[in-house]
Amino acid sequence: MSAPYRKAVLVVFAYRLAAGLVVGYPMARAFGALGATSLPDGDLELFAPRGFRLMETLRLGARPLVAAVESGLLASVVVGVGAVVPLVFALSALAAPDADARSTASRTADRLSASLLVSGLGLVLKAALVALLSGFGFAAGLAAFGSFHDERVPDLGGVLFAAPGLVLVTGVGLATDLALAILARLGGAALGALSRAVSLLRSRPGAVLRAFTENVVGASLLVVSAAWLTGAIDVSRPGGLRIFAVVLVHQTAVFGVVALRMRYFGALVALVPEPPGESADPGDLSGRASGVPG
Amino acid sequence: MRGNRALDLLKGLAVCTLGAVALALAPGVGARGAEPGTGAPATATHAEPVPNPLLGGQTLLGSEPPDHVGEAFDSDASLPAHAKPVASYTLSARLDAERHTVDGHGTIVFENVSARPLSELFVHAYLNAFKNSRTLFLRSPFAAGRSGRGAEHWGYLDVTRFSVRELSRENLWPARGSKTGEDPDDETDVRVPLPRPIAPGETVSIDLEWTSQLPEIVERTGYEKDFHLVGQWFPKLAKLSPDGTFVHFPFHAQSEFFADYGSYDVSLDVPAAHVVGATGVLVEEKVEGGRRKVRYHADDVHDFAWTSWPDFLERRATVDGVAVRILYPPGNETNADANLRAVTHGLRFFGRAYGRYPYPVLTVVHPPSYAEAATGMEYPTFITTGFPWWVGIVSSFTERVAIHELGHQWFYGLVGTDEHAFPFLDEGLTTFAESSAMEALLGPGNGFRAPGLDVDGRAHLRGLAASAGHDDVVARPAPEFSSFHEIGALVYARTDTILATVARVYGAPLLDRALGRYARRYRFEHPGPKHLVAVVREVMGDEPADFLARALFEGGTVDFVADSVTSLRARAKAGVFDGPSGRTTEPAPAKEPDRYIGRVLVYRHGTLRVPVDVELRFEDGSRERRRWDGMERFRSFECEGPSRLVAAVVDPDLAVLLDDDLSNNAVRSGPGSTARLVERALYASELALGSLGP
Repeated sequence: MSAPYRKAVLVVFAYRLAAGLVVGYPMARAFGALGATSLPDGDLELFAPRGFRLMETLRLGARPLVAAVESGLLASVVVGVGAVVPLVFALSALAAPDADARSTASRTADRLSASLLVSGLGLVLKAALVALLSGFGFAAGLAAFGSFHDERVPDLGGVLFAAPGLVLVTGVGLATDLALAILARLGGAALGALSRAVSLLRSRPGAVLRAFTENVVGASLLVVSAAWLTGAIDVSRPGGLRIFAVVLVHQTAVFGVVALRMRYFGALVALVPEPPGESADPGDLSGRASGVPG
Repeated sequence: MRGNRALDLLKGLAVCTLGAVALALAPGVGARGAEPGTGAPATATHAEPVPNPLLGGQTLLGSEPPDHVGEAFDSDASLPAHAKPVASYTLSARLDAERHTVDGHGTIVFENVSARPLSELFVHAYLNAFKNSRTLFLRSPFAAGRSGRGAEHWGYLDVTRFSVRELSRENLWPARGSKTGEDPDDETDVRVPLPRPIAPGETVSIDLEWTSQLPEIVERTGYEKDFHLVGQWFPKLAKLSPDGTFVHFPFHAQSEFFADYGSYDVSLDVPAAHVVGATGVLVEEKVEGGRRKVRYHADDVHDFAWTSWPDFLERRATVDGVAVRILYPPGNETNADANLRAVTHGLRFFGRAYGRYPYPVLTVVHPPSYAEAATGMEYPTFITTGFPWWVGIVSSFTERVAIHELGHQWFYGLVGTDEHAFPFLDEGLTTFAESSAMEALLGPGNGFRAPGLDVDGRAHLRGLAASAGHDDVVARPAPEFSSFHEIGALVYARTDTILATVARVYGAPLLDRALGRYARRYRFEHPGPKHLVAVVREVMGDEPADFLARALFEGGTVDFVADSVTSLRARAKAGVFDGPSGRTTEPAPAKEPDRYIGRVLVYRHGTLRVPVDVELRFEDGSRERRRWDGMERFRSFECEGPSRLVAAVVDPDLAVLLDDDLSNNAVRSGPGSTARLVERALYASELALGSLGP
């Protein structure tokens, strides 16, 4: 792992961990205070088979829990917006692997507003597309297949019709990520970066998709493996060591997910043609420009 | 009937509390009792006012419970072969699938088994509940009934002939009391005066002709597109009591039915393309002139329902001699499997517990998704289940509903209780039976299962029972409940929780034996609540029976509270003592003994007294159980030993599920760990932020 890549991963992971605590800790404490803290074995008993105490806690604490979840969602939005900062720092580190920390920070500040705009636009566009295309697609599927006697056909047909919409959403996500990489590498305005990102996506779809697929598949494998491992550890049984082991497994999984994502962004940064006056090889994927090992 | 109520409950399990929310959203009505706009108090329309339901006064079975039922009813050898036929129906009906009408004619053979001459008959025309917006059913603020919807197209029952051969050939229907009792707008409960009384022991033949206009499905009857579920579709005699009165009532949105046993022989004439399922055994089938003509026969039942739809697929199996037939829509193979798995288990489980299933057939109807309002209903040998095609793949909800409706074959079908007067005797006991059967089928997590999380269906029911009407009376007539929300909480959930508490505190095998004895003894009869309590008393003793009676009839509650735990270092004997030999002074030792004294203070709130364990936890990890009979309002437990007392739990095994609040059952000297919660919340938040953030 090269130094810029390591720096990028650590910064984003540290932020993810801190943000996770900001969002999750108050909700967990509110939930625990509804009864778990008075139980001899603490929250262990909430996860005992049959779920009587868990259901009772949910019943008695429905209102405060809703309030806690609302607060958590609000905090999620704030830290979600804030997540752009470490990401841009990480991308800056990947785009300029030889820069020192001060230069990287300066580069981050320089590109922050445009990156925020790109991220915001991407999020809004994805949400709108999900709502519109998927909704219409599903409705069209239901209408087209509604006369079939087999009750599975209209539902599955709806999913089939909705799929192109979801592909478009993925495309917007890829263009947004590419725009962030372009901003990190070249700077400039948000709309210009988005425009160049679309062009780059059209010219190099295979490379982008390969990097994206590696990221998604790898992250999914990590999360599924973590679920399997924590299931085997089984924290519904007593033992502080079990909790520690689960923390280790989960945080390793999150670290791995972040590392894969940074590797993905590194590949995108490497796809961005260098500015005039730098390397004459726009297709250089060796990792020199991204700081990611080739 | 479970229906959408069941769907709400079960869907709620998936998200833990959604069921309660859904029930809370159910439209309610005002104060119980005489409900403005919903009709008269429920009991007012009975032939005789229903006396205080507290353990007696019911005219059902005509007497107090027998002094002794006996161990003979713990086995199937005691089961009666047949019911005493009181009202037997031979009917013919033709379905017009375009107009959704049923033209019928036939004969009721009716015996006056009461001790008095009958100068009138009462006839239920339940389908008239959907005749207009002013019926008792539809004018209710929650006119949708259990199904969650009102009548889209009106449904009604027009009787054109009602004559008693032995009395006269005269059509008696025009001379009927045209409306329900004193209710000018309801025609579901009809009084027919007779030209001369029917003597005790006399049998008469009543000739009928009628036309039923089916509504769009309301309350598990009607049509949706070309699907037909036909229930409560013919003029039906009210239940005759031994004292010569009829138990009759208008069809209230919260109520169900009550009838005498008999035989049903029904010929149906439907379009040739239709597949038919019905109560009883198919004895004849032929297709001629573009029509399918079938004849079904059922003995020892008190109702008859059928379905007709061209698209049904069919799965057949034989379970311990019972021919099971699953009718299901295309694409629902997984649901069909789930239904078959459920009824296979249920027939065996319920048969062992409550006496063998006596009928040769069972028909399970899984309606098409567009006819969701037809789901979750019970008729003799004929039940409907439900849920979309994918539910059977991802959950056990399909099995749960099928098992619930199958359970009604015992608590409704074979033990013919009054669903109007005491719905807990059918819905409550069936919910308990359902929970027990699901536990036996799937074990822990039978309600909801996810990695590291198992939730029982009963855990959800317990929460529902505690959340609404927890101090209200369970054993009362259906229309007296304030809302469906209250029926769900009290009749279904609280009855299950009460019985589960009796089982867990006083012994599950004993309660199983009591319910089995009750179900066998009263097979083909019409017991009331007092009969149930009497059998529990006989098998389990006075204390469990009194607990059950208070919980059912008095709205009894209980809430154990672990108030405080204290622990101090024990002190050696020291100080000034006066004794027979004069005053002595014992100095304090240089070092106090390495022992501790502890005290736990626990309270019992509420009116129910029930024994409970109290567990003392010590610093060295040791535990000690103490038994408390729960008679006093509070109790202090002292202890002395080498380790500090750090925590206490009342009812550590959660035997008293009826406890109103489980969160106050434990107390500890310091705050407990929430490390698991924090860890899970952190990980979930990190993953979510990865999706939300750029």
